Amino acid sequence: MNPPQFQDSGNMEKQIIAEENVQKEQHPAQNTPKKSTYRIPKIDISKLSAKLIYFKNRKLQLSLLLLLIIVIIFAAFIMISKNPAQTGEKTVVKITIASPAPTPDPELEQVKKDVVVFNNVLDSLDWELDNIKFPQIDLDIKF
Amino acid sequence: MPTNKFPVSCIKYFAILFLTLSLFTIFLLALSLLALSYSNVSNGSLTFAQTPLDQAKKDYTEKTSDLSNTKNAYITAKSTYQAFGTATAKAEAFAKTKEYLISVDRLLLSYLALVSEYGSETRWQSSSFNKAATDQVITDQITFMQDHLEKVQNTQTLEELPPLSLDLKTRLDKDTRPKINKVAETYDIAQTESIFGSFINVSQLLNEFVEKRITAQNHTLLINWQSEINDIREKTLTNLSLSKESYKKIKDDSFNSHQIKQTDEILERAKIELKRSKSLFEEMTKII
Repeated sequence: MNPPQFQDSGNMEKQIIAEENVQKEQHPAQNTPKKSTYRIPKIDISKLSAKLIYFKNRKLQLSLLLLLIIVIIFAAFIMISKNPAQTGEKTVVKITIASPAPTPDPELEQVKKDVVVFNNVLDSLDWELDNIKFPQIDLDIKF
Repeated sequence: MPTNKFPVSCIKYFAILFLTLSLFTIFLLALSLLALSYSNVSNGSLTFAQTPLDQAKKDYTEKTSDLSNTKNAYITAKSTYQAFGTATAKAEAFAKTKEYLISVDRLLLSYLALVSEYGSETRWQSSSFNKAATDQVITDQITFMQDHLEKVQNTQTLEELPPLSLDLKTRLDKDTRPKINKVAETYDIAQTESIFGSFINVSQLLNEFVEKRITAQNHTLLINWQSEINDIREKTLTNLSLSKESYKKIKDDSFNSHQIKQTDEILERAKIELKRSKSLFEEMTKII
């Protein structure tokens, strides 16, 4: 049995515990449990653009530029093709009935067509022949 | 040192793609320009290319405007010369009178071209008139105007211009005006005759078809329709014949507005009769 040894060991333990408590007080955040949220790494755009500008490989730089132009042109074409001209007229959807339609009479259709053509021709009776009235010209030139 | 082939091939690929797209864009632009060349943008809207008749009308309007401007300049120069009588004023009067006479000839040529275009628009089928004859009348007048224009352009002094002006005035009064007025009347009668011919054909066709298909209960309707059609035919034929008789009295060597007016009035009656057929034909096509 050696009581002083026990005392020494007890002092050492106290010192270690005291130091640990100090460390715990100094770095309380280190012992807190880590959060599981993912953080997006911050990108400094100015540094990135500077890197691109001073990029040593000029060919790669050119290819990137070409790619950008092509993408813009493609996007423009796609945007144009996806915007059809709006005429302001509603599209009329003709609904056809599946039931057997009456067979058109070709003779009747021809007669109706002839009548329509004639009626259009009839409108040409009102043509503007007044436009060819002889012009009035002063030719009384005397000095 | 190992060569990195990837960027080189990549650049080639993109360059080809870029060139193809550029060519396609240029092609589209060229197509747009081509389309625009066949059209005319006016008042902010896109319109289709003009017909020869529209072009002739436009040209005639422009020449009328030119004549108005040169006439004002001629009147001013004439007044100055008559007031001061200086050599400078005479030279100015000569220049402005010459310009005026040139614009008169150009206006008349433009007018004759317009008349000719109306002749091309006229329906000559089933007509008793000959287009070639009216074309010849216009051609003769054009030849005279071109000759007169050349004479005016070759003048050197003011004294040469009044006789040339008188020469043109005489020609217009005694030949051009009466003949061209008669040509215009020819177009009108020929067109009406042609449409009357179409009326005969369509009415016969419709009558034959309806007679075969009409039901007994609509038979009275058909008879009344036929009598209306016959009435139109008779009245149109009568008025057309009368208008042609009146037309023959239009003189070629003097301006006779009364005879032209009378012919127009008779022809108008024929047109009114013909127009009645429109509703009758439409009615019958609905019934059958």
